[in-house]
Amino acid sequence: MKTLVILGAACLAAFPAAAQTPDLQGIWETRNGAQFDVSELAEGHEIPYLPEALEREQKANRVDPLAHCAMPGVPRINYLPFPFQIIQRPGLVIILYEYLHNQRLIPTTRREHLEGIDLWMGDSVGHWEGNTLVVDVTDLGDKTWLDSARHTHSDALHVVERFTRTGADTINYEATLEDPKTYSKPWKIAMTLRRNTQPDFELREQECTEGDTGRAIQPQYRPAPKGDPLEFVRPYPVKREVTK
Amino acid sequence: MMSKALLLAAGFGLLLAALPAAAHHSFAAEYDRDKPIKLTGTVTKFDLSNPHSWVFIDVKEVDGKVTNWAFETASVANLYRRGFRKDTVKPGITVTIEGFLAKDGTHTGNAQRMTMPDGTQVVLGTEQNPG
Amino acid sequence: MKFALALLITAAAVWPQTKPYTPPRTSDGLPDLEGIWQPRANGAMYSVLPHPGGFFLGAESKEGVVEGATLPYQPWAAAEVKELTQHMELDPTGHCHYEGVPHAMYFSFQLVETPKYIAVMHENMHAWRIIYMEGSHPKDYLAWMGDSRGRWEGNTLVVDVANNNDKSVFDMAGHFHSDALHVVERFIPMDRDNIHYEATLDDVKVFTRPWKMAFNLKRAPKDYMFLESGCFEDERDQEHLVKGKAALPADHYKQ
Repeated sequence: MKTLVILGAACLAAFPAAAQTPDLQGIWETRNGAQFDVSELAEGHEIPYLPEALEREQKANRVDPLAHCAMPGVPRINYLPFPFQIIQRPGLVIILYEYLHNQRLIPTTRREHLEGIDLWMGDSVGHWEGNTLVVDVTDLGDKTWLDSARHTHSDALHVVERFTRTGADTINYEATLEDPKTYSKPWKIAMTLRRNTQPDFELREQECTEGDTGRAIQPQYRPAPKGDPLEFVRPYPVKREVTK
Repeated sequence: MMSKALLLAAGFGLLLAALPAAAHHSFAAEYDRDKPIKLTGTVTKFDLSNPHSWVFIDVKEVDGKVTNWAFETASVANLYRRGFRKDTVKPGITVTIEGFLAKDGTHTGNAQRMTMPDGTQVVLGTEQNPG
Repeated sequence: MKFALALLITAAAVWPQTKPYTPPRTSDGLPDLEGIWQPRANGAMYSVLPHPGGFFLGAESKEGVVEGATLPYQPWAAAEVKELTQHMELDPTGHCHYEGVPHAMYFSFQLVETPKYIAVMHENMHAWRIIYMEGSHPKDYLAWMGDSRGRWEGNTLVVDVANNNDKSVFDMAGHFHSDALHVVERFIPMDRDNIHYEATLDDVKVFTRPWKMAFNLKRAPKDYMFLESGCFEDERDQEHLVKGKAALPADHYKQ
C-alpha cells in the first residue's frame, strides 16, 4: 500500500501538467482604498491619460452610476468592500458578489467574445495558465466608473485579470487596463484578496433599488470584523495630469 | 444584408417569445392598450442596454415642430438574440414605430414593431411578451 | 364540477409518470442535475392560476401551475389579492426587486453542485441563491430570495426555503404572502433533459392550508448562453409608473 502511494506521488511529481487546476474557491475580500481611488493600486499611482480623454472626463456626468444602483463593471466590482464567492466547475468559474448581488459566469473553455454589445459587467472569457486564472474582459461599454473619484473609460476598454493563489488564504489579483481612446498605454493594478476565515460565514442578500422618492437606497457597508483594521494603501494625491 | 439577418432573427424572436427569460412587470401598468400609436421619425439614438433598450426618434408635428419620442423595447439579451447589435439602428435613418402610448402623458411609447428604411419590419417586443 | 375538471387537467399536465431514473454522478459523486434549465411554467409569472391572455400579460394558461387550481387564501387575504390587481404599479418586480422563491424559478437558471452547497444563477436580474447543504436558517434575517438549506433524498434535491420577506410576490395577479412563508422544493430528475419541479408552500398568516405548485424544467439547448440582465434606476420605467390607476379590468383574474 505504501509503495503504491509513493509511486503515485512520484507520478504526480514527474508529470506536473497532470496536476489539478488550482483551487480558487472560497469567500474572498479585499480591503483597500481603491473603491475611492483606483490609482492607489496602480504602478506609480498614476493613470496614463490621453489629453483629450482627460478633457472628456472633466466634462462627463458627475453622478456615480452606483448612486443609481447600476452594475459596477470590471475591475471595480472586485475592490468594493464586500465579500465574494468563487465557485469552480468543469469549464466554468462563477463569482457571486455580495455587492448588489452581482454575478459573473466565466467560461474557461475558450470561445469568441460577443460583438456589438455593451454590457455593464462586460463579456468575460477565461483560461488557465499554470497556476493563474486569466480572464479577458471586453464589451464593457463606457458607462461605468473605475472608482468613486470619477475615473472613467471609453467603450474600447479591455481588461485582462489574473487570479493567482499565493497561499492558503491569499490570492494575488492583477488587472491590466487597455483603452486606446483614454490611456496612452496599458496600465496595471495589483492587490491581495484575503480569504474570509470566519467560521460559518455566508454571503447575505443585498439590493439597491429606487425608493418611493426615486432616490436609490444603498446597502449598508459590512463592518470589518473586530480587530481587523481596514487596510489602506498609503494615500496618494489624485493626479489628473497627462503622463506620456 | 443586415436586414435579412434581422428578419430571420425576428422570426426566431417570435418563437422565443413563448419562453420568457426575463420578467419585468411594469409594462402593463405603464402603457395603455387603448392607445396604439404609429409614428415615423428620424432616429436620434439607439440605446441597446439593460434593463430595457430604447429607440429615440425625432417626429415632425404638423406645425413643423419636432418632438423627440422615446420607445421602450425588450432587454439587451432579447434583442441580441434577435440579431440586434449596438449599431444596428443608426442615428439619422427614418423608421416607423408601432406601439402603445404611455399612460402618463409623456412622449413615450412601448415599441412593438419597427419598419426600417428598406421596408423590412423588425419585432421589438410583442403585446403578449414585451421581453 | 369545474374544480374536479381543473384538478384532472392539472394532474394530467404536471404530474410525472412514475418511472424511476438514476442520473449520472458529478465528479464529487452527487446526482448530476447541473446545467442550464428552462422552466415550462405555463405563464406563472402572470398568474400561478389558470388565466386568460392579455395586453402585456402573456398567453392564456388553462391549467396554471397550482394543484387544484385554487389558492387557499384566508378571507381577508383573498380580498387583499383583488385589491392588489388594481395596483400593478406596486408590483415589486416593476421596481426591480428580486422575485423570490418560487417566482424566480419560473425563469431560466444555471445550477452547479458541490458537496457543501449548490448554486442557482438566473439570467433574469442576475439573481442568484446559494443552497447550503449544511448549517441552518439564520435568525433575524429576511431576504427577497430567502435562505435555502438543501439535502439529497436519493436522487431528489430537497430544498427548504425560509427567511422570506413579506414583499416578494408569486406573480402579477396580486398573489402575495407574509414573512411566515415557508417553501419546500423538490427537484426530481425524470430523464437526462427533464426535471420535475415541485414546491409545497405554507404560510399560516395568509393561507388556510399548505398548497403545492409544479412544472417541468427542460434542459436548455447546448449552445444556450446567459446574457447579462440587470434592473436598476436608469430604468426609466420608474418615471412612468402611474400611481393609483387601475391597470386591469376588475375581473381579469377571476378566482
